[in-house]
Amino acid sequence: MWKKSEEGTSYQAPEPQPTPSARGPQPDQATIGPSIKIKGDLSGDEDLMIQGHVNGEIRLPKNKVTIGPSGRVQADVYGKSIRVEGQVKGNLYGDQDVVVRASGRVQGNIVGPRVTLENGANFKGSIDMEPGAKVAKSEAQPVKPAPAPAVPEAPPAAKPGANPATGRG
Amino acid sequence: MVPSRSEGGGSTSDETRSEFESPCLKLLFDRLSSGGRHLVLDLGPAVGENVRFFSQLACKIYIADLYESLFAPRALQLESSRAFRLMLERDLPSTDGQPVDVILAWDLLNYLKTDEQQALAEAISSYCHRTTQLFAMVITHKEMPATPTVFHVLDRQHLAFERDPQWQRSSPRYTEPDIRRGLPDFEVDVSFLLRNGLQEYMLSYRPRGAAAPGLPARPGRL
Repeated sequence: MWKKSEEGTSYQAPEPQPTPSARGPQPDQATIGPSIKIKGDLSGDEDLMIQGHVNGEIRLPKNKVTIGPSGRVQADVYGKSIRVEGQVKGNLYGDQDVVVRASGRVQGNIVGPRVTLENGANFKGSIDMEPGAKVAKSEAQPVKPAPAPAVPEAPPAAKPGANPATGRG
Repeated sequence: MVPSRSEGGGSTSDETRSEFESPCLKLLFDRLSSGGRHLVLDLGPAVGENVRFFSQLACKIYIADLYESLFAPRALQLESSRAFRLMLERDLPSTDGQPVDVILAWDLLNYLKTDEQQALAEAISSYCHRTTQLFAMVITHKEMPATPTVFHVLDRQHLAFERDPQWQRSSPRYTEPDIRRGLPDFEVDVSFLLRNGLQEYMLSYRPRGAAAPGLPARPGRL
C-alpha cells in the first residue's frame, strides 16, 4: 500500500463479492434457518450458517461462522473465520479473519488478525488486529496543569502558508 | 482535486467523487508510523479503507459513528443540548479507561452548534492524554453537503469523498476563533486551507491551564 502511494496511485475499492448465502447452502455446513430462535450457547466442530436468531455465545474456534442476511446474533462469537451479513450485537473473535459485508450490522468489538469492512457495512465498536500488542506507554499519561498564561494573545496558530507549495490540496 | 464519477461503494449516480491531498493526514501518518501502538477514535462511520490504513499502522480503532446517531432520520428530535449529551454518552465507545492518541472528527464540527461542539469536546476529553491530537475539517464555502461527509483514506496523504451536489445547506463557515470557542480544551497546532474549500485543522488536547508536553504554557489560546 505504501509503495503504491509513493507512486501516486490511488486506492480503488474492491467490488463487493457475492455473499456465500447468495450462492446457496455450502456442503458440510450446519444451518440455523430463518424461523429458528435459539437461547443458549452454541459450540461444535463444523461450519455454521445462521439465518435465524441466536441469543447466546457461539464458540466454533476451528470453523467458519456466517451470520446470514436474516441472521440476528446477540452474544459473542468465536470462530476461525467469521462473516457477517446480518446483525450482531456482541464481540467477534476471529482466529483467522472477520469480514463484515455491506449488509452487515455490528455493534461490538472485533478482534482478529485480518478484519475487512465492506463499504456500506454498519459498525460501532473497536477493531483490534494486534490484540497482544501493548500501547505506547510514554504517551498515555494524564495532563498536568501548568501556571496560567501571563500574555493575553499569541500569533495565529493557523499556518496556511506553512508550505505553500505542498501544504495546499 | 480530481473530480471523477463514483464507482461502486454504495454511492448513487448523482454523487461526485473527489480526491485531494491532505497535509494533516500526512502529519498523522508520520506520528502513527513512528513506532509503538496507538489508539484511534473515529467519530465518523466505519470505512473499510480507513480501517485498513490505521490497522497497517498497528492502531486499535474505535468507531463511534456519530454521523448515524446525529443524522439518521430518527435522530431529528435531538433538539436539546441535554439530548445531545445523552446521545454522546450512549454512543461514544468504551476504551476501558485507555486514552486515545488520535481523534478523527472529519467535518463533523460544521454540523454542530457551538454549545454542541463544547459538549462534544467535554465528552471526548475523557479519552485524551497530553499528546492526543484531533483532526477536523471546516468547510469554508457558503454551502456544504446536507450531512457530514464520509472520507476515505487513499494513502498516507490522500483522502477521497463522495458528495451529492444536489443536497446542500448553508455552511456556518467556522473560523479559527469559532473552533477555539467550540473546543476550549484543544489548541490549534496547525491548519491548512485546501483548494477544495476545506480547511484542515490539527489540534492538540490542552486543557485550560495545561502546558504542552515539554513546553511552557502557550498563552492566549482559550
